[in-house]
Amino acid sequence: MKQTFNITKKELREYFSSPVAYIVIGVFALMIGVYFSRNVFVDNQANLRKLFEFIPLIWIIIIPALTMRSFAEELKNGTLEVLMTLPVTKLQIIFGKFFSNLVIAFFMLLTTLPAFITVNYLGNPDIGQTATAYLGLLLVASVYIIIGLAISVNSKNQIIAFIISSFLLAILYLVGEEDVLKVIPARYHQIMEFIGLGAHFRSIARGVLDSRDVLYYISVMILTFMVTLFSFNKIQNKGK
Amino acid sequence: MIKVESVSKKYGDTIALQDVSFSLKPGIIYGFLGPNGAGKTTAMRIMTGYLYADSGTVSYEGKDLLENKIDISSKIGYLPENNPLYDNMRVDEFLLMINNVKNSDKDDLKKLAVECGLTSVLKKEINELSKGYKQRVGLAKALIGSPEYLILDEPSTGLDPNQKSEILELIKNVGKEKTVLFSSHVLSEVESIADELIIINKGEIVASGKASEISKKHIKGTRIIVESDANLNSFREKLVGNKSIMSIELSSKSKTFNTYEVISTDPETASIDIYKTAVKSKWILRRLNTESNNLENLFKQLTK
Repeated sequence: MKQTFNITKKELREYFSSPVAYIVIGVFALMIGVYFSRNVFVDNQANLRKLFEFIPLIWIIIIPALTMRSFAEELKNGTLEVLMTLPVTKLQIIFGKFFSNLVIAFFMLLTTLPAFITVNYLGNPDIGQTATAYLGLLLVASVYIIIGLAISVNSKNQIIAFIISSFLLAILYLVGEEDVLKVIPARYHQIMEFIGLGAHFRSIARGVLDSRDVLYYISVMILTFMVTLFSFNKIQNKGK
Repeated sequence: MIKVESVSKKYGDTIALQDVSFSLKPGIIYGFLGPNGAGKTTAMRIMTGYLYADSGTVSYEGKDLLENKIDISSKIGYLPENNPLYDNMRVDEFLLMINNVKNSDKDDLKKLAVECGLTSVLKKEINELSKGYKQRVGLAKALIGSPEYLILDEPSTGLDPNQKSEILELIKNVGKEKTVLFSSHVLSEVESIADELIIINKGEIVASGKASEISKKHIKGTRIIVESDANLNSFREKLVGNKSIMSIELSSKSKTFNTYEVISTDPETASIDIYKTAVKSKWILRRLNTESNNLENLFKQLTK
């Protein structure tokens, strides 16, 4: 655990010693602010559901912008060799990078607090529902991050890692969405809703934490962790 | 003791290491020599656990590296090829990060910064440093935690002569108590600090031991360089029968002069015979000199 924390600290130090973290959090806050201020009075509802449903969509672009450098930059600069020859395990490296990105995602969610305060001022939103949605968003962020890491560890080029991660996340999110299902034969709906990340988030955004949804997120994360770990072994075999 | 046993590694169809075995004893500085692409970096990467070997094992004090990776890694100080560093970190941040991961004493880190001459640049970002300072940061990183084993892949690359001698002196000093393996292309620096040599060529160990032992074992004769207008056939024809001459090879050719490499068991007699034959045959001799069996010749002959 201590070594994971050391790697997380190192990653965060790198994020905050360059403009990356500030830009990513700033852009996120700006988009959230614009979206919220435009919609809060139109909906005339004292809750953040629409905003919560919007966040996973903008994260499709924003989280890969964070994760793209995680391994790709280390591979390009050769620093992965420094990291992997220290007394740390591959899992500690992956978890360290994962948590550092999750901390940034947490900071991004903190920028939604003014929206939460505004809604509280205007009405009386369900706190339990809001807390569940925040928890759900952290789960979504975790899935996005680990997918981004799995792509990043397979590429020396950050831009390629970004494009592939965003593309994959978009497919995974949209595959179970109602608009997509409309053009797909009905017999495939159940499986597509099962695969689709967005479909699993709908009930969470409403404040319902269904164990099936949580299980889905955890399964996707474990599977992607395995892919990342496997890619590490590939690097050690090939000497990338 | 570090033991590398029957290690082989291929990159696709290219053989990087072929059944490589050697062992390194404590308190000895080993110079790892070989031409570019000989397999030095691959061997070092396998010895630090960064790369997996296709076959064979690496063990430290009898413990298998891959089975005891964490324990052994904490005792290895490694400077990888090209010295990769986290450029946008400050020197002190970077060293502290490594120090934390290696679970070492912070006070030792301060001493190390002084030893490596880094005190004036501790607050600077690594990307602001000159190559010499970056190399010192890399070396300091390798020395954190006072590791028992030091594996240094070309530690003096890109340094000016003063920086080189400082770094070499540092390696020499720390090498008194540790097992040090360092690779280099610069034979003079290997000669100046290495106690023993491991010479690798085309993925195979071609010689190992003290330079004098290797010379005795592998170099059968002394090289005489001859530059003459004589053509290869007549040069060979008139000299091959000579008892003191083992072999004659054409090493380069120009319009008027050829350069021959003559290997001789008795260079003095051979040189006189070559001179006499040249006079008799009316060849022009532009050069006739005997080369001593230094490390450069040893390297050249073993890695041909």
